[in-house]
Amino acid sequence: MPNEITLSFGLPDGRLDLRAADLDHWAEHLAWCCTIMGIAPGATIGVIDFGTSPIAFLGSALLTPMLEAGLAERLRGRVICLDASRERVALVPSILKQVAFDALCVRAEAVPALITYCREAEQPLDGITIITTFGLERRDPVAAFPRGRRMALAEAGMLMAPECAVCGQMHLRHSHYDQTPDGGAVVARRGGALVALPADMAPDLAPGCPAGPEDWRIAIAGKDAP
Amino acid sequence: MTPVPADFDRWDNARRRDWQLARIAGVVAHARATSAFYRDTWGDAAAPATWDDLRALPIVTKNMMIRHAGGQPQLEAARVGFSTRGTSGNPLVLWLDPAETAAYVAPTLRGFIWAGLQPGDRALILSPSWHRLAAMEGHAVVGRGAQPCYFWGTLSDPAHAAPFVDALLDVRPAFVTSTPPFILNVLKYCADRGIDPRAAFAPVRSVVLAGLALTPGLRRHLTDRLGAEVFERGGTQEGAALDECGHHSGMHVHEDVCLIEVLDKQGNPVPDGAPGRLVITKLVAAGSPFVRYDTGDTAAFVPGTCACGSCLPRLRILARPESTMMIEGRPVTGYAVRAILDEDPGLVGRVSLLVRDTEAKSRLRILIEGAPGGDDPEGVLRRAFGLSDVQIDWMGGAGLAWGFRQVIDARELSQRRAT
Ligand SMILES: [Zn+2]
Repeated sequence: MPNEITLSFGLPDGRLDLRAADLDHWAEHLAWCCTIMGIAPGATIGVIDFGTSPIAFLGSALLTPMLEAGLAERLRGRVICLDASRERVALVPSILKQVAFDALCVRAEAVPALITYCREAEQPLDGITIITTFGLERRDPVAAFPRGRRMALAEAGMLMAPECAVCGQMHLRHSHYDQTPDGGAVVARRGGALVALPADMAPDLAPGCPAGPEDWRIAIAGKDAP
Repeated sequence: MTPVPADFDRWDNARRRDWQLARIAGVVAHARATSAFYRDTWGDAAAPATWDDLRALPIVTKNMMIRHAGGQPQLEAARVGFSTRGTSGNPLVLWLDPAETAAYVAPTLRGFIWAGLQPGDRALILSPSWHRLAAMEGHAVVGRGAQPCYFWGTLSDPAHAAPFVDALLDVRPAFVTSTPPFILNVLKYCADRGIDPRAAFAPVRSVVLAGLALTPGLRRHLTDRLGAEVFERGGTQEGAALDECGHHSGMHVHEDVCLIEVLDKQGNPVPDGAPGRLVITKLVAAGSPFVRYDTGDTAAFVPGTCACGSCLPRLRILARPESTMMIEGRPVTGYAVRAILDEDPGLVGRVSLLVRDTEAKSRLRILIEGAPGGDDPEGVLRRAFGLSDVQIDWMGGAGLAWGFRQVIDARELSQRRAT
């Protein structure tokens, strides 16, 4: 009976229903994204995001029923659930004092609070790869940390496009996404909704990056983190 | 690990105690093997073979663990970390592994069945990343053949009542888990938008609430407003797991996964019905170990047995020490104040905080959200606590949100007002 069950996640607009097989398909992709961004096996990754963000619910089979292997299992690492509310972000500096993180995956809107609380607590973020996830509707440049990476995230279409550690551009993984003929939108090959790309984000096929020769890539504007 | 027999909650006390004692040696060995803190704390003490051996082990606290230089426990199989809320000082990080999840899903399912979860139900439940106990909920729902559904956002932000109500209307769940403060925010949201909460909750059979002890008045209020049966669910990140049955006479302790002691200041057990320190031992030799861990809560066992037929003891969690103030020699807790205010139809469900005011130690000072209301609440509180000086500060529309803590310092209050 459980294999007939779907999981239903609320999103800012609408809902996302996933079957067991979808869960592992996307968890494998999230692990690939982390690898592309330079996260090594065995990493300890803090997730500053809401529970129905794929970054959170694909984090581990312990968090999500019917998911056989989440990000933590696939990287043989660990995820720590930190939530993106101000109340929880305020706790991050004291958690950083207890646990050595390799990466923090932070929802863009939580970045200012993270920086403020860490500065107040005199808790440096040195040595931690800060992955900022941002929605494509965000037109202002996304904060770039010195050792940071960025990842486009559109939950409704299950779009997860990481900034590559090799080429510095965002990869749209060829095996997982297709684009519309005009190049103006991306769609997941499995069950995702169409995700419109902003005009300044036209995907570019050539030249290929060794990390994913067939992937489309998108250059992203950025600004230094405050 | 041997699976827990399905009829475990029907076993008599002696049989359950023997079963628990048989587990403790493994639990202590796990703590010793994985945690430098426990190795240093226990020294050469032998593995407990009797209840007296266990009671000879020292009671430990969160701050002892955080201060210890040994760092995090060495847990090869751990995949997920959670942090406590840090309502009393620094948050503690704890780790979950597959064996622990497997052990805790069974009591979660037991509690959900008590609360009426049926196969095929849609269940709108807590996000798994919220809390270690919430991470068990989805597995238990699937184990029942029901469908887990989640709302967008976080319980920590009152603004996320909106996506919760959207999810209610979209999913039409029969079963809901949440926290009392969040559901109160949802009711406020409904009132502001002219939404009838009974209509929004119409398909909901059961609402299971964790995180803040329900006062009798608040339970009546929520039951009436939601039109659903309200169940209390309890537990701590450190391994306590409790659920209320349909008799609503205190939460049953899931003794297959946790051993709960209620102790006086000297560490001796108090009689059933008497309040004491809540000390827990996680009976699962997996994940972060907790042996004789003082949770900081005050609790009391409910005397007698429950009419539901479960032999699992019932517990009421009453207060946290940081939410207790001594006024004219009497302990006053946030829960006790809420229990009185919640009896007033004009005040039930309002956020209230005790104010710790070192300038006026004999005054009971309380912050209440919203405009002045109720029927002489100062007088009612004076009589209830036998105090001469009670002051209520009405917060009007100023921001006063449930943050799970129940006491605020007077100095912090004046700072907040200044900003
Ligand atoms: Zn009962």
